[in-house]
Amino acid sequence: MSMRNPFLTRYSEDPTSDAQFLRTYSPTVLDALPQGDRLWRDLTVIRSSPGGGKTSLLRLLTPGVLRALCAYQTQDAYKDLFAKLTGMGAVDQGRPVAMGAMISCAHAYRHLDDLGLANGLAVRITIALLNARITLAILRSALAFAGAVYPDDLGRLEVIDAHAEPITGGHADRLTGEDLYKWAVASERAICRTIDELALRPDSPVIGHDTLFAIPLFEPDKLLFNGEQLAERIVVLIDDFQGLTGGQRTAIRDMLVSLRSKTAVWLAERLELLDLVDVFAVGAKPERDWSVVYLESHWQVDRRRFRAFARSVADRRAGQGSDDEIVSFAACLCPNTDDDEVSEVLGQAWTELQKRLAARTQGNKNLEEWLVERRPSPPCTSGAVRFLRAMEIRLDRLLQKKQGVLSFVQPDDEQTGIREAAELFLHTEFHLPYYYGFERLCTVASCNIEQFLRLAAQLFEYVLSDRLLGKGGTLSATVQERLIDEAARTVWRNMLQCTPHPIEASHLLGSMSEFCRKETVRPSAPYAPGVTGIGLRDCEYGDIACDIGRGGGAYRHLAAVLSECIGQNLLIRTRIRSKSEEWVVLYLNRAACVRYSLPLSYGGWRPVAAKDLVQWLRPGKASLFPGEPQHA
Amino acid sequence: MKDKLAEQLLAKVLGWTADEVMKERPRLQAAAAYKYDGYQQFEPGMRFVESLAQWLHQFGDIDERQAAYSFVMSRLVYISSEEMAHLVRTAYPDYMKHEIMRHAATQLGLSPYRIAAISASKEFHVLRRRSLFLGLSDGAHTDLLRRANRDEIGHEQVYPSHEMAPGRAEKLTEKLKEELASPKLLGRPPTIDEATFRLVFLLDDFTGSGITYLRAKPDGGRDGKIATFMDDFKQDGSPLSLLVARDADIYVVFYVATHRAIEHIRRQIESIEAWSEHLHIRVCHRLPESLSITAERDPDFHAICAKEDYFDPGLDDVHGAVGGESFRFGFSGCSLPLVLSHNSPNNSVAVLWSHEDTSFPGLFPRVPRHGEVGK
Repeated sequence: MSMRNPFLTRYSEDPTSDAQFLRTYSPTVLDALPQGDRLWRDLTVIRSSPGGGKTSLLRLLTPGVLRALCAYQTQDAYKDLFAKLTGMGAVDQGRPVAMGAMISCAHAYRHLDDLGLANGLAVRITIALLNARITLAILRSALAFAGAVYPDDLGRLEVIDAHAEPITGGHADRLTGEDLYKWAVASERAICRTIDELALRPDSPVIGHDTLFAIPLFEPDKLLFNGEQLAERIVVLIDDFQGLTGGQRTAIRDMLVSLRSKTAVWLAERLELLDLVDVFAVGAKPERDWSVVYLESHWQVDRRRFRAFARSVADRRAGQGSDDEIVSFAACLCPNTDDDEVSEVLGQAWTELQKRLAARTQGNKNLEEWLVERRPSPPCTSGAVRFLRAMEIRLDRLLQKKQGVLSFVQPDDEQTGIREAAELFLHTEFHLPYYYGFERLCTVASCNIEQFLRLAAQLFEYVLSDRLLGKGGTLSATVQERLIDEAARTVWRNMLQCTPHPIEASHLLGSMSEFCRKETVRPSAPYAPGVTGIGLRDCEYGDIACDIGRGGGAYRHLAAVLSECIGQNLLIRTRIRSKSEEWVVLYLNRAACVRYSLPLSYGGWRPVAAKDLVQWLRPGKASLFPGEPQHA
Repeated sequence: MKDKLAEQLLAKVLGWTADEVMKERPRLQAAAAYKYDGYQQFEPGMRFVESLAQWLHQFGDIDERQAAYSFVMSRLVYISSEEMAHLVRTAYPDYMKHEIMRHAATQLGLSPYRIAAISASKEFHVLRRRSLFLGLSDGAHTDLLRRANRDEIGHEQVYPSHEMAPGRAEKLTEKLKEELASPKLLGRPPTIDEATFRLVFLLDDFTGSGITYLRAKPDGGRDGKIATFMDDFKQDGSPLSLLVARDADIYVVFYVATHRAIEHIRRQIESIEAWSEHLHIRVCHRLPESLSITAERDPDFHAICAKEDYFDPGLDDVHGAVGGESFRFGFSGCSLPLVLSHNSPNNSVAVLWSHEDTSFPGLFPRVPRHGEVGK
């Protein structure tokens, strides 16, 4: 049987099949990583909101995946990924040369803070646990890299020139894999027992460590297998770094920065749970000591990149889910409205718009002439109806400038923004499809690959259903819009529920969406194609951030909610210079735009004051989903 | 048949639109993968979706097909092999061990909740060793029961049948004497009375009506598996009578049983004074009365079951006559919507389990136990 909707499968977390993982992995995301040697010697921090692709990026460097890729290197499906990894230096002459060892901070570490240990002891024990787990991960990966069996072949591994006082009491010329394994297992077990018992007993063998010695211990020239250097490059891959407490993260990050080891460290953390200051400080200062990759920002710089990435991911998964019958997912989505399908609505819109335009130009000779000259002739295609509506917007703009009505002024030629505004107005007034097509689907995904997969899953399910019934064509714009609308609402609701303050976030974003909507639907479309964001003056944004640092103040709660929204990708932050002033603009996630019938393009925003946002946090404003119970 | 073809047939049979396919296909695939494809009596190569499509195709019109489909997706109860295995594995610690501990508590004069004290006592360990576990059919899975509780139950306490061969009974007795004499238990040779099993657990997987286990005969006697066991046990000189203590407590343990079956067996037991004090029934998973298909609860599907076109009269045989009713609504009219992964019970409505070579093959065709094949 074909795979059950591969758009719903999360290969990053499926340990069972490296081949499946590779098959669906698009190499485009590798362009986000720093280039050159920096990747293999510095600390690289990879940040994104949930579902951004961090774990998949780390998994790519694990031995099982790299070995599988080298085995399939001649197959078309893997050639581009293989080439990229060769260019990066992870693979050379058809074999892996970089060895990744992956650990997750999702479990256990945080609980050490609950033990009530004094004077930094909790952090030291955290470091000890990390050392033990990094050791075990490297030993496991080393044997996988060598094609040996773990733990049976530990005796074939050794570390030379070992500086590991907690293990050996000092310097050791040689440590075997078995020595290291025994030490790490005992250490981990003792610490976990301490966590289970919720206390550190006086006779406990647990000791804290002051340094992350496990990383320099396993430098590439020191780790041998059967007496020979195993890998040219070693990278420790730390996932779910947000699983640590703030104090733990700060201490460990400082330690990693100052390590200066030949073993690289890649660290992945979710944006949502960063300390509030971190989220607000993002992008404000350059990183000298480490590289930071913001996956969403990488895509947002040029959204065509994300589109290419999403296309690649989608095509791979569509092929998997259809026994390779479908080679292009985008081709399954009709890029245009089918005029025959919506002919009745087009006819109604055509008649209505002609009537409106005639009524408003009546009595003004110039405008009447303009109308006669410019209005499109039948047949009433979607393009012609769009043109008519754009004419009405231009007319509204002109009529607002009262002097223009009296003088002989012809409305200007069409602009792209007005055309898109016209299309949106037709959607809200006459229910003509707007949210359809692969490009718009990618935009609704808001540069988050998991969001894209969730939206695309619905469309793909329908494509499969259509094919099952013997209909092999593309999905019409009407069907696409219905499915995207349903999926976007679900995605939006789920994202809100993941925030620590879902009710306040719902109030804030609901009010913001309504505000954007009001600004967008003004008849003259002054901010064509529409408003989808709000802007805060840089100084006000700074005031909000200061309240985090102070731990109090008028904006403390607002800062918390904003930080959560940014971290969850509910709001997309960017900096803009406008009229000689610096602004921080917060755009709505495009899923909210679908819900509130807002345009999908970025660009339109309106300034607000921080105190307005504080008001928007309060109940009494409309919920994001009218008809749902209001929360006090 | 390839899955895709089966899904296409199903969509055609039910007249689905693309929206309906989109909604139902994930549900069907999940249900099939999780449980229904594991039905052990499908023909080689047959899977659930194909069987469903062929079954629905037999119904006369679209309304009946949709009613039948709706019934399968919302009312069918399917107990998978994993779920049955779970019941088997947990039957001892959750039910039988409690009985042993209760008896030990009585001997010790302790409250039954003093579980630490009871389980540490020699009385408990001796009583546990003097417990016998017998299967009433293959469905008892005595092998699995023993393996899942290997620290508690030994090989010499478990037998797959309630009909004991003489040689086997002797061996069990010898082993019992040997182990009771060990220092961990009595620490001395047991007396004649002590060298018998004090508790007996009769095990089986499922009962729908209870009739095959215990029923009244026209002459006032009793018939059925439990009656056979009790008669054998009470008969002087029989292997069982030598193996099991005269005042033994007998527990009939079902992994799954309907409320109706439990009540029936209970009433039968209570009607026999000689049995009522020492014969008990225990059930791991009880199926409520509300599970049965009735005209009030399931009018559309009940009407389908009642239709002549969808029942092969050849199914009614002498074995069905024991239940007193036609097999149309299941043995003894149990009218269950139940399927067990190893074989559909005939207590369920016939449209679900009719044999493959009848005029209306069921969704989960049953292999008959008594050699009756579609007369």
